[in-house]
Amino acid sequence: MENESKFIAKLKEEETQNKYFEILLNKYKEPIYWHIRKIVLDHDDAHDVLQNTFIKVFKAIKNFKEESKLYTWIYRIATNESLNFIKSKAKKHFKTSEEIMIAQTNKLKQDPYFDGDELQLKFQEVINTLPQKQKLVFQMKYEQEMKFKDISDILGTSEGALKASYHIAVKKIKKEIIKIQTF
Amino acid sequence: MMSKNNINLNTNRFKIPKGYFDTITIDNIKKIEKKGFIVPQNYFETININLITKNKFQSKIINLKYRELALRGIAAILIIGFFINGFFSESRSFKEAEILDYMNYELIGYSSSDYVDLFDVNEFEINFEQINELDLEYYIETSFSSDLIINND
Repeated sequence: MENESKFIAKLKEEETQNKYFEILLNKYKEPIYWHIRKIVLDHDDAHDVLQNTFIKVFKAIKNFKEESKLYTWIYRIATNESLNFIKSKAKKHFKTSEEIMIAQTNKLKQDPYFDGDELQLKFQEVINTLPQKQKLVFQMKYEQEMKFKDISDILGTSEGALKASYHIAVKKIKKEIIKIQTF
Repeated sequence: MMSKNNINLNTNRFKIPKGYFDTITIDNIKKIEKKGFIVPQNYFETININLITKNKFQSKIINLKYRELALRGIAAILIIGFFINGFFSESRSFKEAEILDYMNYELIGYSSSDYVDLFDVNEFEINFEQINELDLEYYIETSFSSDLIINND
């Protein structure tokens, strides 16, 4: 957005809020959806989280202090909503978040909205074995091709730490994928 | 991403329903946002001060008759309790007297061997060191007739 401050000001005004929120929604619904989907895996879950994210954005926009870019703020909300969704699902089923993600990955085999072969499934399983932050960094960098600077703003971690984290994640995943392919 | 080993992974392995993003509109978002508790139309206009003051709270009146009845009930329970307790106490002492009479008069015809059958002698521990010879002699002389003593020699 060329003049982000003006855009944000329009978003905060009651008279123009709806019109500009629609512009915001149309611009970010797809990238935010995919960001959420890579975390929660299931389409229906991603749909719920996406709606919750934009409801929060709509409600909180009046208090947005412009300390970061608008889209990193939205991404941060989406990331937190996704992680909270997993946590609350885990709590509901008396399981850990890791167990929920393993179950979600296993469900992908029968998921009509999963377009992957056996290798893709193994790839997802390997990603699940990564620690949470490492998983996020890998997904945002490798799969969404975001810049380290933007990932740093969203996750609140230094660029150096993110680069190290990403390098380790790539090494782990490559090792596992090669192992699978050679068998 | 092409690695050294030419691993080409399809990063877009997920699909979505056809036309999905067209369903994500501001109207749908707002509909979800408004969902929650629903109240009847103009509900809050019906709440006014007159409605509140109309309902007067009645103080709780305690009927003394019921109190009297309760006290009578407690007294009855206590009397019955004493009676039951007294009845069982008497029966216990009555039983004891009965047992003593039986031992003194009814068991008189029992011989020593009969007593042995009645009581398990092994239950009793006899400390022979405590038995005084003089006491033992006295016991034998007074408890048994001379005939029995002669026969048991």
